[in-house]
Amino acid sequence: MKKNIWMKRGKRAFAAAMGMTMICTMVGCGSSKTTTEEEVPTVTIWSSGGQEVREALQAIADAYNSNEEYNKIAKVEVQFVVSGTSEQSLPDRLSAAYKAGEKDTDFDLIAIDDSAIANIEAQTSEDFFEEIDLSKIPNYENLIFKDNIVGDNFVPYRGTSVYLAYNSETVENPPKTAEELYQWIEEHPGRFTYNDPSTGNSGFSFVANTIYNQLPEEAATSSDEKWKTEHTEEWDNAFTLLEELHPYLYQTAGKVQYPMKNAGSLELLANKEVDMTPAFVNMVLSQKAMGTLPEEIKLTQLEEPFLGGLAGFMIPSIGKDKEAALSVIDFYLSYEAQAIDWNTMFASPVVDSSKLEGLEHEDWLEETNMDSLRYFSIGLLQKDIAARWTEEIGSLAQ
Amino acid sequence: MKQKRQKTWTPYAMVLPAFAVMMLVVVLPIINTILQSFKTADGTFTMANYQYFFTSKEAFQSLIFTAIEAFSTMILAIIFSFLLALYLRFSKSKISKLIGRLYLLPRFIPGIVAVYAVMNIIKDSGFINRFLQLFGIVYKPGLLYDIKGIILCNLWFNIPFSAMLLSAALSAVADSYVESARDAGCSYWKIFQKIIWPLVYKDVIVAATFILMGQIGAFTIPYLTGPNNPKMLGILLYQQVNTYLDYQKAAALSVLMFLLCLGGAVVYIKSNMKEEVWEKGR
Repeated sequence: MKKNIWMKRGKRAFAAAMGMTMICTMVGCGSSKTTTEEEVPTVTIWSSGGQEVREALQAIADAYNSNEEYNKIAKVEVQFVVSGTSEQSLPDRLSAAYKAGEKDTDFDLIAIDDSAIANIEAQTSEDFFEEIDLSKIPNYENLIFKDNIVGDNFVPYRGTSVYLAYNSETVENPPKTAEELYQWIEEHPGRFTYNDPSTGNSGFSFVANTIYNQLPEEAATSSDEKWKTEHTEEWDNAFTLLEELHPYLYQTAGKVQYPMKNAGSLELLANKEVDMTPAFVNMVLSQKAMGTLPEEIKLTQLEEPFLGGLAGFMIPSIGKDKEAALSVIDFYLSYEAQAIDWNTMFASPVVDSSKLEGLEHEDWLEETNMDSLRYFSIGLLQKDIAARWTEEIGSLAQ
Repeated sequence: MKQKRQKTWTPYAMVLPAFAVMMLVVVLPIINTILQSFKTADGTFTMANYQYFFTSKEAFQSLIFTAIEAFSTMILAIIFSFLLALYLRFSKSKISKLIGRLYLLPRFIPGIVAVYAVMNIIKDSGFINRFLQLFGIVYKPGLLYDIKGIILCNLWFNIPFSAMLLSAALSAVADSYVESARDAGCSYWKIFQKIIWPLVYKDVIVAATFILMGQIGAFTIPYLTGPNNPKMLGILLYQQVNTYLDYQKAAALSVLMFLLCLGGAVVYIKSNMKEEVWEKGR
């Protein structure tokens, strides 16, 4: 009897072991490198954000690994933290490793939006990211955004910006200035919307512009509290304007409703429930390419552009292979990689786009001219704006 | 001897994983949350976090809104699922068998998928609107981004759930009870009142408290289908964390929501403990 039990247990243990082995083979845990690959160092890129960012990073990494010139120098791996699952985790992981005093970590490269850098530096130290030796990045020559706001420790590889998306069937002459836009909204009740600014940056951008269009240019790239405390009049003006616009926005069930998330306002545009909304360029283009957004949806930028930013690479001081990391940055700035980035997620190129080859929907590049990029990086003031909006404007929607 | 020792330890070993998980991910965070709710951001003791929710108009509106939503969902779900369960129990037709197989299907569809599916039907440019446009009727249901939308989505999830509980309860009603009552000339209403209801009312209370408690903490459905204002408590909590970065107020609100749920739990346990006269010694 007892023997029987042990036999059963043995079988079960065997089955469990088999299961583990199978899982291991499937996800490829443990080292399965072949001898030839072991000679080159592995450069791990860490990033977080939406799924499309991951796919684009991975597509370029694959191209690197199959490029005969580059794959002699290193092998690229992408580690990705998809947003919504544990968004905090990349900065947290970095600061945990930093505080634990670790040195040779696999945080070789961080691919990140410039707006997220301050947060990491606050948790670690000002010099957490190393200055990047540009002389070892030949393709840096290609870059058109050389003087970014972050500094010498940041090399941009992709642009992001919010544009005004509109339905060209119903809107023949889209507004060209912020003033014209506000006028258009009042003349076309219910046909414009922007999403709750605490849930997505496209809606936030509309709200932020009502304030920052009144402030000097330098305010948009400063997290200094003085832009709030010393400019209460501009802030009050902005919120009065938003309050005035409120009744003219999209309505359902008999009241104004601010959609949730960037996708929420785009969906209303897709269903033609509104004619115009601020939206991220790459979201609009990706959805057009997939056919979920109709062809008639076009993009335009105002004279006072909506916010934009750059995503780029940074090298943490705790990474282990910094030389190899430079070659990876170099590859991401190549025309080949920039074209892949466009084709995978319609990322705005940071190089001269006329030199890119094999582009899908090349004509869309013109609509999203990155020359008008308006840097926006205001740190925690962003939370203040969203909080005041929720209190004063969000509460009107009932 | 050895076997005996094994026996004394086995139950503890079996309970340990569940107990450890409960301690680590439920009990400890609750204690931590309660402590945090009495603190200011720099760690001194305060009651202000609670005061805020008892005096704020927005919080009061949220509470009322949540209560209306929760009770409507509960009452509607119980009525519909009870009727469904009765039909499934007493009808022998093919349709009843088919429904009996299908009604659990919603339980196996991921919540977020279902919400988007419902949204695509009820939104102003959704299926209802487009279908009616075929006949030249322009009708905007106005269900989405409204309390009606939240209730509708919740019914989708809760009717099958409580129908499942109630079907199990109704299986305790033997055909012979009903048949003998019919033979004695009892009306259907009397059968329901005197035989079926006493046998199942406890399960109805269980199902109702489950639904109610689920609504108090609901997030995904009201976030996607609810109005900007007033908000359900779950959204208000999310906002405290994400928009205001006020973790202490969020903790206080969590404790208050926890207490509300505790009320439901008390009803649930009481109704379970209560023993009917005819049940004694069963």
